Order: sequence, then structure tokens, then C-alpha cells
Amino acid sequence: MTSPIIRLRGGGSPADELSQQLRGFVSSGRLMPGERLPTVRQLARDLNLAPGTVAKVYRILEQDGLLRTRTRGGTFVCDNVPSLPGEVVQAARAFADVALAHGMSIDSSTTALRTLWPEP
Amino acid sequence: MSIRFLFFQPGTIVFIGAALLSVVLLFLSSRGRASEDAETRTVLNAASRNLRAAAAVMLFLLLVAAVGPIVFSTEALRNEGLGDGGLGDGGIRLAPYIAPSIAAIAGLIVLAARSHRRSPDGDRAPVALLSVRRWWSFLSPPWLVLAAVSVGLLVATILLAGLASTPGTSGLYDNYDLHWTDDVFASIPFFGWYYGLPTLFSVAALLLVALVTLHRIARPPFSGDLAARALDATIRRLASRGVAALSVSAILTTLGRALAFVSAVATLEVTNVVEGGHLVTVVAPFAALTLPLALAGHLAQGIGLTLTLTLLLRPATLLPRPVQRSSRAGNTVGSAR
Repeated sequence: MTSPIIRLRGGGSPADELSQQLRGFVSSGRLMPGERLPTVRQLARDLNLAPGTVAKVYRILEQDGLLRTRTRGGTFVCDNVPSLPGEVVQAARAFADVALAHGMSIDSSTTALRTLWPEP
Repeated sequence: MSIRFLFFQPGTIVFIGAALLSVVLLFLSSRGRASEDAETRTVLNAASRNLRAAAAVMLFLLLVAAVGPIVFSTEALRNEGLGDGGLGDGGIRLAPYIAPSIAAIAGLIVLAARSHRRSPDGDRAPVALLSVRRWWSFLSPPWLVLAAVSVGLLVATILLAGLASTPGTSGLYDNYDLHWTDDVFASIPFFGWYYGLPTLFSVAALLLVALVTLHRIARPPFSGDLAARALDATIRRLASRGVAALSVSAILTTLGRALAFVSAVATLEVTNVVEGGHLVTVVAPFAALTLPLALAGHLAQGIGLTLTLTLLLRPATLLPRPVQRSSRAGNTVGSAR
């Protein structure tokens, strides 16, 4: 059983962090279309959040067309979500592996990527 | 009672068979295991001790339930003879059928009380694995199938036996009547509603406690650390398997005893003299099932006992290996079998 991990680092509001990470997992293909997400209660308990916060995030992602909720059936990733191109995902994974191997944090890695990003 | 007679008793054969089967299963499961590091072994050994304690409590209570009625009956017989309040006491008659569930409930309570929660991450950032955790999440499908089949067979046995039962002299549905004519019939104690309903209630209580225990095992959040998470998943899988083993063991033991009771009644026959001085014998409608029911009863009790003995005898070195680590995301929570 391989599942992505949500890790709240306290870098913003918990709802924003959760929403951002869920979006990232969906768009990168880490969460596959049709995959079931934990219940609001379970996720709220695991992350020490109020259930209302998690429910709000789920609702927003649902409005954005990333998730769908079936009554009493759970929350799932939508079947037709826009995801990143496969090559980009692979390159990003390779970058993350190399950065981790060099002991870099996600913040310093992101900063490095921003620095290297070509000007428009 | 000679030793030879005792050795060839069905109960003795079932016990010896179960013990031998447990040893064989443990031997087979020990092959090809990798060794763990010291810390992992310590944690897994603690989890294993909890399982052994739960199995020991269950077996001890089963032993008390088996020996207690004999002592009580002997004492009652000595004091009151064969009249009411002697051998016919309700608690004693019901004991073999409700004791396995009660013993398993006690074992599950011991298991739940001894299993301490591992603190996920202390003061580190909270993490959540994006997978749904349910009470069955750490149980492999064969356990669920075995439990469902056992419960189904027990409920079917209780219903069929209950429908076939008739009220005895005390008005309780604990008899089976085999009629020759309306006036001529044989009556014998039977696994009727008097036994079946308390058995159903005790099994329902056991299933409820098992579900709550499984839910409590699955509920806590996982650790953010890969190694701790893998170990945690292994412990939860081990504990869930223990809950399933104790519960299924109790249900199968109950089923075995119920089938043995029904098979004993299947030997009932009524013989009467008809015109011409001929003897005609009428047998129970399910007389042909005597042997299959008896064998199925012993088999169910044997498997039930094996499940608990396997938990009790399992040495620490035979524990399942922790997870094989994922090279990338590091979020695998399964365990190698």
C-alpha cells in the first residue's frame, strides 16, 4: 500500500497547506483518478485539525473539479483531472531525489529552482 | 479410567491434533524469515507477548469452564442427588456453548489493555497518510472470509437446531422428540433455542468487542518517520491478526460443540413391537449425518484450538518481518509475509 503523505509544516494556514499539498498530489499523479481519500474525520484527527477545516478544503477542491464526494460513499479523485505531463513529473522526482541526497530542504530546493527559472 | 481409554477420547485426539498442527504451522511460518535489528525485535517481541498473554487468558478460562462444571456437578450430585438443582443446572448446561465467547472477550480485553499506543511523532509536524483506515485495513482477506464462514455456519446450526427443538418437561426448548406414534416417542436433550439463543448473544457480544478492538488498532495516526511507520503497520497487522484468531477460535470451538451435540442426538432411535411381534425401529431424520456432524464438530474444535495454541506457542523469533522499504516516497506501510 503506497500512499502520499500530508505533512503540515506550519508555513501558512493549515487549510492552505492541506489544499496545496492535495492539489500537488493530484496534479502530479501521486493521487490517481478514482483513488479514495481518507474521511474528513480521519484526516482531521491525523493532522490535529478541526474537521470543519478539512471539510472546507475538500469542498473547495470539489468545486475546482479535482475531487468528487459521494454521499456516504467517501471522497475520490475525479476521473478527468488535469495532471502534469509525465516528463515533468519524472524530472521533478529526479530533482527531489538528488536534492534529498544532498541534504537539501524543500524550501532551499524550491529557491534553487526559482533562481534557475528563466526570465519570461 | 485407564490412560489408554483417556488417550482415545475424541477430546484428547482433538487436543493432540491441534497441538501438532500448531507446531507444524509454526515450523512452516518460520522458514525464510529475515532477522530484524535489535530495536525492531524488542518492539515486536513486546507485541508478541501481548498476543501470548491474551491467548493464555482465553485458554485458562476455557479450562476453567471445562473443569468447573465437572467439579460443580460432582459436588451437587453428592449433596442433592439427581433431582432439580443437581446436574440440570442451567449455568452448567450452557457453559460449554457460551464459555468460548466469554473467554475470547476476556482475551481481547487483555490484548487491548496491554497494547500501548506508540506516540506518532511527539512534537514534530503532524503528518497524515492519504489512505483510508478501516477496522479491516490490517486484516488479510482470508481472515475475514474465515470469520464470515464460521459465523454463518454457527448461525445456520443454531437456527436449524432451534427449529427442530421441542419444549421439554420444564417448558424450555431443549429437547428433541422422535415420534413413533402420537403417543409413543422418545425425547432427548437437544441443542434447541434454550442453548442456541444464549450462544447467539454471546457470539454477538464477542463480535462487537472484536470490532471495537480492531477499530482501536486501526484508528491512531501513523508516524511521519518511515521506519517507525513500517514497524507500526507490522504491529497493527500482528494485533489485528491476533484479534481475528481469538475470535474465530472461539466461534469455531462453539460451532464444534454445537455440532457434536446435534450429532449425538442424531443417534436417537425408537423401537416398537408391531403386529406379528416384529420389532420396527425409527431413527432420527438426520441420522445419516451422525458421522459427518461428529467429524465436522471435532474438526471445528481442532481448528479453533489450533488458532489459539498457535498464538500461545508462537516464539518471538517467528514474528513477521517489518516492511520492505520503498526506495522513493518512503510511505509503504505494508509488511512482507
